[in-house]
Amino acid sequence: MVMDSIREGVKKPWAKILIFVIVISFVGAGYFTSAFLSGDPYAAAVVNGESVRKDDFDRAYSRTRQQYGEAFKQFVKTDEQERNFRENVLQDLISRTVTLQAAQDLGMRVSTAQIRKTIREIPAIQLEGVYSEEMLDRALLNLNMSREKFKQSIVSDLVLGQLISGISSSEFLLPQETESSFQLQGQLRSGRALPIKYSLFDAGLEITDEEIDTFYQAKQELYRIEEKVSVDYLELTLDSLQTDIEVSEQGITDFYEENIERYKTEEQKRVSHILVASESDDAEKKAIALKARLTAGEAFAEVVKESSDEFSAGEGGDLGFLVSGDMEESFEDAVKLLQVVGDISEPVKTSFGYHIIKLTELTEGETQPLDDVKEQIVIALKKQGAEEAFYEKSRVLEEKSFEITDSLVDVSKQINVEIKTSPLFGRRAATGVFANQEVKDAAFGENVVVAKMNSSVISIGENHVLVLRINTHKPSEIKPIDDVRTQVVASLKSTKAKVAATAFGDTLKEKLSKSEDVSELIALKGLAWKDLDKIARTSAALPYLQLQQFFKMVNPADGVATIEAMPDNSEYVVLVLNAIEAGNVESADKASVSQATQRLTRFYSDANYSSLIAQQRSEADVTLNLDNISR
Amino acid sequence: MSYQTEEQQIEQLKEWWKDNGTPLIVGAVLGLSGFFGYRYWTEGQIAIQESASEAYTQVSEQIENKDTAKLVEAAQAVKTQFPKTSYAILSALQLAKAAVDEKNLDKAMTELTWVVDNHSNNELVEIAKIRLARILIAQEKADQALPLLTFENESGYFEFASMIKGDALLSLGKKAEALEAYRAAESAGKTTASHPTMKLQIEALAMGEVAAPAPTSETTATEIEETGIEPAKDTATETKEPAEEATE
Repeated sequence: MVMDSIREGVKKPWAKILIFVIVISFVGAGYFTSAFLSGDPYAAAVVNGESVRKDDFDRAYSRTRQQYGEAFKQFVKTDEQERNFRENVLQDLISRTVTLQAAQDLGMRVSTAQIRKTIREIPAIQLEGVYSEEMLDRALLNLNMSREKFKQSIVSDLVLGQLISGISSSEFLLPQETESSFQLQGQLRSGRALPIKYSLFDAGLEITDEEIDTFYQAKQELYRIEEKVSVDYLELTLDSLQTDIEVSEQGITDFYEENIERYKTEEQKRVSHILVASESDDAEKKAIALKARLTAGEAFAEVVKESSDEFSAGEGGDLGFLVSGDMEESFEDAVKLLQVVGDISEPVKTSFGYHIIKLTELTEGETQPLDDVKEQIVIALKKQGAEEAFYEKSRVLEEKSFEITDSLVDVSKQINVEIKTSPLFGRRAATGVFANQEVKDAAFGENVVVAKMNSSVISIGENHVLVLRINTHKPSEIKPIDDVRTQVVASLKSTKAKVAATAFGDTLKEKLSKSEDVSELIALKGLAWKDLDKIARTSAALPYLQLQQFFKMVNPADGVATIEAMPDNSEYVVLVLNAIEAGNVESADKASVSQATQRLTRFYSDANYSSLIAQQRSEADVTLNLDNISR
Repeated sequence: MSYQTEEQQIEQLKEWWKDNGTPLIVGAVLGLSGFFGYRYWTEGQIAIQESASEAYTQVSEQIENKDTAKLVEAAQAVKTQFPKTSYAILSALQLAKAAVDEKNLDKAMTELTWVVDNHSNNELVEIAKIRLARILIAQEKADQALPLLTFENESGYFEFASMIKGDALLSLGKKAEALEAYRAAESAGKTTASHPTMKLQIEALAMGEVAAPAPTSETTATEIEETGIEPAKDTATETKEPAEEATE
């Protein structure tokens, strides 16, 4: 029967296809497995089917954070900044991953001998300058990293190093590239400038009443006083409530007894271990045999030395005092069972292999006496009391200020908080708690100003709330003309002076363009040309804006100078450009040339490497699981 | 369904085997030999790559020691022994740099050309292409550089290559096209934003099109002979380059 159906079946075309697929899948077995595992929901990101694991992210995050040091707190304050910071760390990790994948695709790899050599040269796992297997073992236990994973990270570092330094160290800079860049950067310009101070044209200017009036009418907004309010308010803060909380002796004692666990220090255990690495198949048997020898009375230190695994051998297998969470769970469970110094555990299995653990030192836990922690408890109780009071009072405040909407007097009595009155403040010049945007919005809102109701409860920060109502309202107004007359006159004068100076400058420019002699005109006003002899882009010979313009002026062609005039803050200026000289590497000062060379070299080597990464990123299939990296 | 004796069943089995045995065996042999063949091949590749990597450590060490003679020797060895690996490319890049440092641009060009010709499918070839283009420009063969600088807009190399393309076109005297290439680089992203003078170059070239007016008044330069203005220096070799202060 079975054969029947097989024989029938094989003749059918779909069965032939099936057999073909099976054969093909044998050939391609290696390729397909990696592609099928791409949807890892616990990964921080999946890059071309490869997971960037959450614990790798955590390591990168704390490393980057350490690099920033104190600066971290300055740059990362809000939740959003924290989120961005985390995403940047992840993006860097992804770039590293794609680069590593590129290196692998390029057939870059390292031999076992290279790996061994590198590991032996890491200072952190050397003992007095010599590589120590035991130090490696301890370092790995502390990092909670398996040997395989550690090896992989070394391989990644080596391969990435080969690729990155291979590209950047082979970068070159061609002399002609330096030259043409320096021609622009080191450009020198010659000519002269004539600054015409506006104040020179102030004297003797007459301003009529009519002009003042026209100006005042036209520019009324300049003389507007902004809307101002003064408010009555009730403010609740946790700190202010704390002082009123009374703490009884009984309360302190009760708290101490209820929370006695907090005042105990844990016992500390120091252990040694024999590790039979799980690489050997008979590890379990071997561990049981070793344990039997210990039970038979052989010294732990002797067995450690003899045990075939050399990592455990140094220093009698000592691991030091354990900190909870350092070790895998099975290891910690076994340690809990060891109560007396000298106790030895049964073999325990972890991802490293089988351990036999001996308790070598025990520090008993202690309980702090009440007197030592009294102050601490008083603070905690006051805080607790204040929190309760705050919660209750803010509830009443919310209810009553909404219920009786035209006064704060009743609610003030009920929650026993005094009504305070603010000084007059405007939207722009508000200070303290009134600078808070929500408070400002409420204080100038229609409900408060027009309807004269209590505002709703505004939360200003953690444990800090406020309710306000209007006390005084001063609408926006324009200052009367007599109050601002001097200001108006000054404005008019400076405008007129500016116009006169500009007209004078433009005339000069005009005459210069026609090759007329202007020296008399200039002398009459007591002005003087400023000579500009081969000034650089960084020169201090001209004020910033003028220097900018001077370097924007077109090249004086055929011996004809370029002339421009422009207003600056306190003067009008006529600029004459006579000549442009391209920067010359040969004749320029060495410091500026070497600075330019360094910047260019850095540019080229960065550009190559970042183009490579950009290319890999553009081809990569990346899925971000941002939820997995949030706090 | 019919009831059959054991003999009948065996008979049927034999018959079935006669019909299908050969293709099955052929299939299995093909599948297994494919599988083992592939493994054998990859293991061979891995061995070559590891040896190449080890040979390349000699190059890396000399990079750190800054001993050019030994570096060249080691790089040459990797290139000869493992010509098909990426390590040969990295070695050729080192040889090209050493040649540039010795002002031997022809030699540098030979090394980079070797990479471009022999490793056209390798990811690193783009880096070699762009470097080769730069050397060609320096040798006043910018027309030969241009074909090396063609990248899709989406490519990670597009921005950097566009900038070099600008250099090539400028060296050919094609100012308008050069400006276009520089602008393409500028708007593509951020790699070239750190170039110290590309922005100045763009402004200078743009000024060639339209003279920038002063903040308020327009100015046309006419002849000036008096007021002691010196005639401008020889400006024939100069591009028009009134440009803005580098924004640093």
